[in-house]
Amino acid sequence: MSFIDAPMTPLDEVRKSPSRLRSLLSFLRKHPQAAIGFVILMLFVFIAIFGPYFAPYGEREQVGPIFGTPSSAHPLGLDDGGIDVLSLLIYGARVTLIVGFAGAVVAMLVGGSIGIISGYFGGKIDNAMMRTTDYFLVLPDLVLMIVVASIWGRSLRNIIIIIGLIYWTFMARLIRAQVKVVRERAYVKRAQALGATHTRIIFRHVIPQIAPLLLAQTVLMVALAIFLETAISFLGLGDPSVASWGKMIETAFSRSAISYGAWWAIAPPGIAVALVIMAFNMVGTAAEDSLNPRLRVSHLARRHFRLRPLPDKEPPK
Amino acid sequence: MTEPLLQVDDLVVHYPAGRKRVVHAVDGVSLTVAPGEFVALVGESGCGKTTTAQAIMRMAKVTAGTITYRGRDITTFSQREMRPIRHEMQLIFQDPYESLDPRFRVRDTVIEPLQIHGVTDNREERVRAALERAGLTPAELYIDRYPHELSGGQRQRVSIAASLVLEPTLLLADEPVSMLDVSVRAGILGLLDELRKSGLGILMITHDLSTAAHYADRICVMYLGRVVEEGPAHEVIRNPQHPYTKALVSVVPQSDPDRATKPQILQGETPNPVNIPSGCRFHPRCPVAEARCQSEDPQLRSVGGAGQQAACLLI
Amino acid sequence: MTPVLAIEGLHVWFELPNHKELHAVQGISFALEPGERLGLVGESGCGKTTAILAMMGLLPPTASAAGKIILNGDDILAGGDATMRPHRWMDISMVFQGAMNAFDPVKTIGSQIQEPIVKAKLADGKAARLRTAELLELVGISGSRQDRYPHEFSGGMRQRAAIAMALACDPKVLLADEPTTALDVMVQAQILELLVQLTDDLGLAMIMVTHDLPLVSQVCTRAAVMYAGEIAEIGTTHALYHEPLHPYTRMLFSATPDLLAEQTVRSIPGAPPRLDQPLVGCPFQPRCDSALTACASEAAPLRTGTDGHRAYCHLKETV
Repeated sequence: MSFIDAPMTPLDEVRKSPSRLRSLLSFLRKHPQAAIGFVILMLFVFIAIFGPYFAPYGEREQVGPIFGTPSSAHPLGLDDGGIDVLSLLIYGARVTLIVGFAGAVVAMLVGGSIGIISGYFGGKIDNAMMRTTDYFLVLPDLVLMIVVASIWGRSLRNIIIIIGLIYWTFMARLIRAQVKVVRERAYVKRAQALGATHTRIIFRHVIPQIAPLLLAQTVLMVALAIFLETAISFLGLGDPSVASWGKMIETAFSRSAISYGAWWAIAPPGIAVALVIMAFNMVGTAAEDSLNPRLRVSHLARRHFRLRPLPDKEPPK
Repeated sequence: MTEPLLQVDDLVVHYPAGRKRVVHAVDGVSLTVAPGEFVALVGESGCGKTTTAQAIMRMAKVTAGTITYRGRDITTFSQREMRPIRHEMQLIFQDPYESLDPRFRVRDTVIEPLQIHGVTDNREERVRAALERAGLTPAELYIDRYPHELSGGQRQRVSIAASLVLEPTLLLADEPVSMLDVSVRAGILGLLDELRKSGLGILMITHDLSTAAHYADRICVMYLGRVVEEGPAHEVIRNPQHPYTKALVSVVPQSDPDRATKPQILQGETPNPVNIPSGCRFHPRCPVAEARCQSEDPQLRSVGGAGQQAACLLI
Repeated sequence: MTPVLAIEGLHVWFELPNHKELHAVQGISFALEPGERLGLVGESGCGKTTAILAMMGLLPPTASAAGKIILNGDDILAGGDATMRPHRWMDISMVFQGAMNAFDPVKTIGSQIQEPIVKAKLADGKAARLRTAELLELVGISGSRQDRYPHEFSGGMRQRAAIAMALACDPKVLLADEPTTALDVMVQAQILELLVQLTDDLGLAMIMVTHDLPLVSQVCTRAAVMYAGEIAEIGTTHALYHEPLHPYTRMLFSATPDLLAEQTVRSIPGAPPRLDQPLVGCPFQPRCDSALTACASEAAPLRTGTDGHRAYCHLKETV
């Protein structure tokens, strides 16, 4: 038997994929809300980083009466200590965002590691870790928050720990599911067949494959973390020495802002939190949508193909 | 007589399947592959051919039997002991669309085996040489591409290049072309044939008898965990001895529509490997089974005159 | 005999994201007689699956179609989905690729076969069950198994059930898309034997889409070879094998290892052309081993053989 090996396809047949920039632009075109969300986020990040340099007044500077009404000098009025609310909002942005990010990162690192180990190795390790996850899931959040705050005190660091403790389980399950899928792919089995170590496979094959989705879910998690931080501070379990948005709302509440009619002490931080969470959600869901093809449902819409007139070239074949 | 590269003796692979049930995936398989020999392991789904390959690669646990590679018994080798063997024994997967990491460029995929086995000298040249040996010439065209930029045939060649970069002596190919277009298959199989001529041993797993007939030196036909017939490809196809082989050969469609065929279509399907029939495991579907086939289990023995073996009581 | 199905100048386009269009089917025409088995052969991307989906009217919203699909004398494509729907499953039905894996796992096989019968108001309740049992027997499955679930059937039996489902409303035309691709060779033989028997006994006309040439040689009387959205050659399987008019047909046979024939196996170099750009000349020219200078610039003319055998090729002598 003789065989004739065919020459390979010429250069122009091997099609280059679009550049990163073009992919990003087409993503933004398909998901305009991601662009809006991103702009809002950048605005808040800017305020968080540079805000304190041009905040009109100090964080503890009394510049007027308790619950002073909004005026041209103080567009958002004054809080229960006579401090400018707008300035507080600016200072609070930094704390809220840092705590939110840090909490989400802790949840991602802890949950991600457990999810990867669980999903990759399976078997007894998987069972043990999932049982642990279940125990944590069952712990009531509120009780956990109160216990941590009362035993280890109220500080920013502890808030971050609480957020991590509450959310890592969520991450672990998500990551585990994805790792299980990637693990069965042929290229992972090939690497095993070659004799690659587990470490190598996890770091070079599994993590790069799940990283984009992991990032998208972390973004969504930041939104949750910020919300949780606000709730923790609102309940008085937060750091008393630092002004976060949640603390602002808590202070206003406990100092009877409502009976004073001082909506400006409560609404602005609440709106700020809502805006930031919404922005993170917009970016996160858009990213998740484009990365996870199974979320697409457009094919379920009931539309039909169209008819066209025959192209008038040669007679039909 | 050259020492065989690979010798499998009475390989048994059983899996537990819930309360007291056992999947008899491989139930006593023996085969050999010599250097420069192309052996096709043929059978339908459930016959155990893939499990046999996995056991040889030590990716499945061996229940009994021995696997000898170049004279060394590797049956109970640990993963660490297998490492140097893995250098020489490579596996090519069926699915060219899934067997390459989509995030790795061609270079990264082909260089990985070198990295895993600590080969540090001349890596770039080795990668290029492997790509060109696999037919991807000039290597520059392909080396920086991502898998999704390549066709199925090109991807399969990248897989083969990644297997060749360590200069193996034995290639196991699991359905290497079943997911490729017809016009591309001959190129890949021709490449395997060239490699065989340069001294590699090749064990190809396939369900396609026509492909086996054309490219293999020897064919082993498996049924329900056993080899039921084996011998030179030419003989097994034109002069099948075992009733299963005869039936299989008779139902393979041929290109010439005028070729009169008398297909012997067996009824039913291959039974579940959990419930192996008594006696000859083929007897429930065998068109010529006799009473004793229900109780006696035939072994492989020489039949015909040309190095063929078959496991049947009636020959 | 009037053909039960006639396709005239069928075109299908798909919208692509970057405002381009993929011309997946580029004007195919052929006729199908009652009781005939026609093979539609080609490699991936040639448009064969799109063509039969168009015949069923099952194209996605991004598709547009032109041409005529004449079923029993009526052009059913003329009104788009509105004219195609009444005929779907009633006069023309399909066994999809991978149909054996497309059964709903939580419903019995019987209930799924009954669905089209009940929806078409052909029968109800007990009568529908009876009809389902008949259909299963027709495809070689015991009628009493209609209350079993898909996972209780083997792959081959599920494929038979898929065929039974396609025959539920007694159609005149059956389209089968790669009906045996995922099956073992012995089960494939059983299914093919069943399809031959059904077309012979019921007078059913069948189009079998496949990439497997020997299969077509064995089961079909006529075949159309598709390339780049067009029919390159159409004729009896005998003519295609012994006297091909198009080099692609000949080269495709050469690229297919045959069990007993000892010919040299050759692959076909290169790849099919992109269908999102207009093509000049013969689409197969870059890969053809007998191309003439005219082939690159001029569209291939019609070449005819005997008995309805035709191809589109510049070559004049036997290929």
